[in-house]
Amino acid sequence: MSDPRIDLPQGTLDLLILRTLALGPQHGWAISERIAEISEHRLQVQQGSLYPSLHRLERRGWIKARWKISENNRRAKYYDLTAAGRRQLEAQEDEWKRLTAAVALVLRGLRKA
Amino acid sequence: MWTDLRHRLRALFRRRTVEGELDDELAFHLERHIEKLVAAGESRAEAERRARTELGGIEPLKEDCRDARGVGLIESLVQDARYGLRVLRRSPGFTAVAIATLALGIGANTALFSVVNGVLLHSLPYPAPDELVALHESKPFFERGSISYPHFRDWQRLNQTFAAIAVGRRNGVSLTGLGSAEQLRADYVSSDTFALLRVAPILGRGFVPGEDEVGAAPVALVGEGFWQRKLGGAPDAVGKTLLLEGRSTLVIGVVPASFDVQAPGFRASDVYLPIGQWRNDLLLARSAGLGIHGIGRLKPGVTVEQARADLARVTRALAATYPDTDKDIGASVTPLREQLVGDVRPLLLVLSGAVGLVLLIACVNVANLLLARATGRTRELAIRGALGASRGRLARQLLTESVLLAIAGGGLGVLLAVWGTSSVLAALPMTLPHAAPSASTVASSFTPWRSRSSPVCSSAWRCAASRRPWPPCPASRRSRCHGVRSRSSATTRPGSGRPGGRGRRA
Repeated sequence: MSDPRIDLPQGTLDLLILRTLALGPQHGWAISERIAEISEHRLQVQQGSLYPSLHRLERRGWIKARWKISENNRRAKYYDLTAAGRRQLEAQEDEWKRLTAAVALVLRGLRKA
Repeated sequence: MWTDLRHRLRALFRRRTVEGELDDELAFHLERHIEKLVAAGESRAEAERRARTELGGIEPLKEDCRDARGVGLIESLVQDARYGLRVLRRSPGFTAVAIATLALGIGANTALFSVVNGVLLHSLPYPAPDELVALHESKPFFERGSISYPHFRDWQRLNQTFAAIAVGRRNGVSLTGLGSAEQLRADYVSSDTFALLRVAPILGRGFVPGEDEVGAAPVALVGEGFWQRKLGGAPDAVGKTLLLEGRSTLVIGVVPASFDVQAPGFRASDVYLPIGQWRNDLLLARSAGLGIHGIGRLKPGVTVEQARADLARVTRALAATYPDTDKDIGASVTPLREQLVGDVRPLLLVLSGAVGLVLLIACVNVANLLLARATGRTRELAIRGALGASRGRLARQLLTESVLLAIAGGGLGVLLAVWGTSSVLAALPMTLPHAAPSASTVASSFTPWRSRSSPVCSSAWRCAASRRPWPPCPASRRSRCHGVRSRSSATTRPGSGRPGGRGRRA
């Protein structure tokens, strides 16, 4: 049997969070929902690792947090991308593309051989 | 960079706010998730259960967030320290014995190292101190006898290995005509003294060659202390005259208070007078023993042996010229430091070796105490392990306790050392025959607080080093036997969802 869900490789969660926040400020729960939705429920963010990641990103100054009233009328902590975060996102995205392209090349090459 | 620091500081100092925010954030997450599940048709109770399971253990999650904030280590350190203090307070007997043992070991070491540092390692407070030697006349019955003034002049004129030679004679002189009459500490010195030690006057000038000849016009240098006390620290004190021994003497300069010469014949004084001013009928007698002693600065590259050979040549020549008075007269040349340290060196080295062993024994004893106690704490640590404390975490806690002991022992040790240093020094002067008069000044530079703080550094280093190798033994013992159990129990913890013993706040 094949489980459609994929475990996130190390380090990709940060990239996904930054990418999601590029669409606009969100709170933690919505971020994990958004990632699941966009990936058509193939990527499941471990909620246990989501918050530590958010806090780490905040400490690095890539995202900043603000308390706002949520869509269901409660106080929630919203995260937003900073300028540094935007730069970081571009860099990471670029790196990711190069990495996957390179890995794909190797896999193709091996198949031919 | 700045954001990072600000973030960490906020997490550290506004801990309660930050923790509250984290609670709110997680509570919001749970609620939102439960709402979603309920909307999808789950029962409220089932939704709550699932939401919690998916989030994983709340406490480990919080712990991870704390780590992400970058202050997890400090926070747990503070926590461990607090807990450690409580544990130590609960067993005062053990704590007292351990601290006292360490304090004795560290105190003895620090005290002795202070002395060794001051006596053996500290160089003399002058430029190029290795070129400095103490000079004496060796004559029958006196290995280090006093030098007569004519001999000094001959040595000065005939030697080839010295950059300069100077002599001094401690004395007292009377001061009149400036307030009430007073007996001053005085030092009769030859002209080269200050230049030789490379000490410059803070005001006016030093002696010039010839000023120390017998019959020269009376001049004097005054010490900074005397200048402040009697001359009001006035810059125009230079050029004034003082009535010293009833003779009007011109003040030509002020010697800094830091000038603290420690050599036979010399001492820090109120006034410094040229040796030629000393009115003593025997001054010009070749065979007189008037308590005059000398210092010399070797020419660069000249060894003490070469200087000895050189002066031996000079004294032999003098003995041939003046067979009556100079027949058995030689010159004694000793490195100044050796002269001051005397024969104490091997004694000090042996003593410091001995106290090193004492420290070693103290460490072994404390390590033993810790081990014995660890056996009694099996239960406590087993429980902590079962609650999910990792091996590293348990080891860190035990290490923190050990470090607390070490700090307390080290602190007490330094106090002991302050007292110990002075008592060692009180015992020393008897064996420091030539430095005896200056022992008090030596002492002041020995107290651990003053001598460039290096002994204190050394003791801090020692107390750190002394504890390092030992505590891990009990610590690793503990963590090894309970690591296994903690893991298995953590996996069976309901709702944790993350095997591997993550729950830490045991």
